[in-house]
Amino acid sequence: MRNITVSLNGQPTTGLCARDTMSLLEFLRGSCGVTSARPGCQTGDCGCCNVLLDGRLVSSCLVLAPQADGAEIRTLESLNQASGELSALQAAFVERLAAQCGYCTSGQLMSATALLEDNATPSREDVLEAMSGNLCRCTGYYRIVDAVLAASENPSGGAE
Amino acid sequence: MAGPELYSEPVHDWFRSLDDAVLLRPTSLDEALSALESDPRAAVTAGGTYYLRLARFGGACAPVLVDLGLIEQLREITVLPDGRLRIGSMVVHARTAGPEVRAHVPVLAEAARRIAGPAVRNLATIGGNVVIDWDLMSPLLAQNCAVEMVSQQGVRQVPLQEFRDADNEPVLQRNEVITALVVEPGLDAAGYSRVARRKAVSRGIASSVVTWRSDDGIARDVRVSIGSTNFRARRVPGAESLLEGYAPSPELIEAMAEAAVSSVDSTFESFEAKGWYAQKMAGVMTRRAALQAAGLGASEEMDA
Repeated sequence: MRNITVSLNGQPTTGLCARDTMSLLEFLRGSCGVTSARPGCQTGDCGCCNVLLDGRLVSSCLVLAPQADGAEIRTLESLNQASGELSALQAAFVERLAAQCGYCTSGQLMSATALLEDNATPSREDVLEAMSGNLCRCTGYYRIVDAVLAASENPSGGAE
Repeated sequence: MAGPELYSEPVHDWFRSLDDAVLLRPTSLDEALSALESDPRAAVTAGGTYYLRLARFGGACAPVLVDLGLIEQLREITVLPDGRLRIGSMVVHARTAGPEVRAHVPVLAEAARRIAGPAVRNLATIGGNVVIDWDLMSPLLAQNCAVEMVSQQGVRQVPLQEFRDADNEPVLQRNEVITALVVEPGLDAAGYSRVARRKAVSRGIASSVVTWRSDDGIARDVRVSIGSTNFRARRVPGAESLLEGYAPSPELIEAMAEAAVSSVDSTFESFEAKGWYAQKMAGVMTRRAALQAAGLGASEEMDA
């Protein structure tokens, strides 16, 4: 049992790591109270738990919490602009009905964030590739892809 | 297939669930080797995308995990004086897919680009991929990969083709760490093809690399390798000899594909595919990879 300190969405955060093999996902949800990353398959196949770890998109279910000690972690909560408005990406998801049950949405948004930070003008194929690790049972994916493309075309767009 | 059985003897009495495991995070190779040498319960963990995943669902887990993640020297990529590329065992697939490797071994970079999914590619390692005989095996075999392993007793290199024993278990000892994979530079002509249940994330039901050196239109030093969920990755000498010394043609390529099919056993079923299907796909992937290498078409997107 140990404390883990990370930079979580820009804020120094210390949380209890109950055992060495606690996953980063469990740590974020249970110890830090940040629940946007969700347990889905817990095998790295579905993308529900995707977060950014030192700027890299990772499956937080596969990272052990001690391995994230001292790291910079960004979750869905980091996407909101300082004013509380939705980011362009979040607004695009809303406008294009890219979420239904919403369970996969935070992981989808983190994958899209990673893409747009690496490639601000992706093609449709780029989006499909970048989002290929995210499963959705509800939407049929097209609206999600459309939303990511729309956000890339209007990066300053946002919504209350 | 290598799995929890890797740890099944003689230390089975020591296995606990993942919850009970202790994680050590050495910052140097010497420290890691010392931990492995001093505690017979200790085992290496690399990217954490396979064995720990199994352990989380009840698979056996070593009580002491030696995490290689802080050892920077295992992430080095260097060009050796003989032109071969030495890739540190902890290099993740996302980096293997990048320009450092693509400039020297494009077919390996392409396989790394398509393996797993974006998030897992930032965690899974090339060394781990060799241990579990996964999708990078086909390009690594085609590039005459050598596996560099280190223990407190010294360093050794083993050709990848000899990395698994007759029981299909890695020859890697418990107290050894794979430090690097050393591969030959890519040849003039190369093709890679892969099919999986799901285009991303799923393991390739079959994948193939076909590559050769073009000598005024004649194929020399032909390498054909196949990997699969259903059979151990391998080179296919029968397919290689068909093309060696000849100009590639659709007819020769078809014969190579048939040789690939003949080289595998159709009886083994995996979660991903029936045996007959994996066998058939070995031939299809070989044909596609060879057509790509020969510049005779067969783009993956067209055929998908």
